[in-house]
Amino acid sequence: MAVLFDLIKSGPPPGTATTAAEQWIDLGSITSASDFIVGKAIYTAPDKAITFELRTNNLTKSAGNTTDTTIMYSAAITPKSGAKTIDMYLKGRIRTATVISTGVEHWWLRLVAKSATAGGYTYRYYYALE
Amino acid sequence: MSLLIPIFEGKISGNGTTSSKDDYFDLGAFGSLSPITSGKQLYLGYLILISQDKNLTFELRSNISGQSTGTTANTDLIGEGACDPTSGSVVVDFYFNGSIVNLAPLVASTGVEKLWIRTKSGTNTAATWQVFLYYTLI
Repeated sequence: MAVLFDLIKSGPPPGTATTAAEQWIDLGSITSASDFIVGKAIYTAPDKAITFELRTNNLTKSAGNTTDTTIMYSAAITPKSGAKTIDMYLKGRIRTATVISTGVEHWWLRLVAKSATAGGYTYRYYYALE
Repeated sequence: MSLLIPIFEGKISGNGTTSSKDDYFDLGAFGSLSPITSGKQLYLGYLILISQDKNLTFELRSNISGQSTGTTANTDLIGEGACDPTSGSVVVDFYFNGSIVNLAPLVASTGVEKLWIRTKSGTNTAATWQVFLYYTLI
């Protein structure tokens, strides 16, 4: 059966926690001459409220910081909200995509929280190469 | 060839800090739409709201024709939603599978009208906010 979003990126390893109010997670490089289009995300944050910002590097950039990246989607997850499925596609009505890579750009997950208290988190993306 | 040509091709990502019970923010300024392009309206799709610090009510407003300031007298309420730190982000649906239509401003821009986010809360405690707006300019 053919599916639109046929790739999965998930993490982190079990037991990993974020221990900062802001943390950047490198999701890897974007395939050269292509972009990633993201369909769904599933997030959990069982210990503290975390905002998950999915970001793409700007053209020719590769570092994880706000200057060199553009936000693609943002979602706030809390212990009360439980696992949240985020629809970044909405039956084709919206588009959540990285830049078309020149070979150096990465996609990033930026975690933002109110405190540096240790907090577990998980992410899982369903995406496609375009 | 693109896999996806979305209905709502425009996206504004706005954020800020409110330190009062009632604040106006020029949302269009985050997306080169301040003012809204003359002769155009935003056909609205979805609005995503985030507030990690305190309970906030968000109002999406656009100026009435010929006005450009962020006040209740000079704006129309287009849509609203509430977000609290424990519940996570909220998605406001302005489209409902094509069964409703929401336009901002209510009539085509004369070239001066702006798009506003009004934040309201019960306290003056400082709080950050973040919104995403999906739209198509028509």
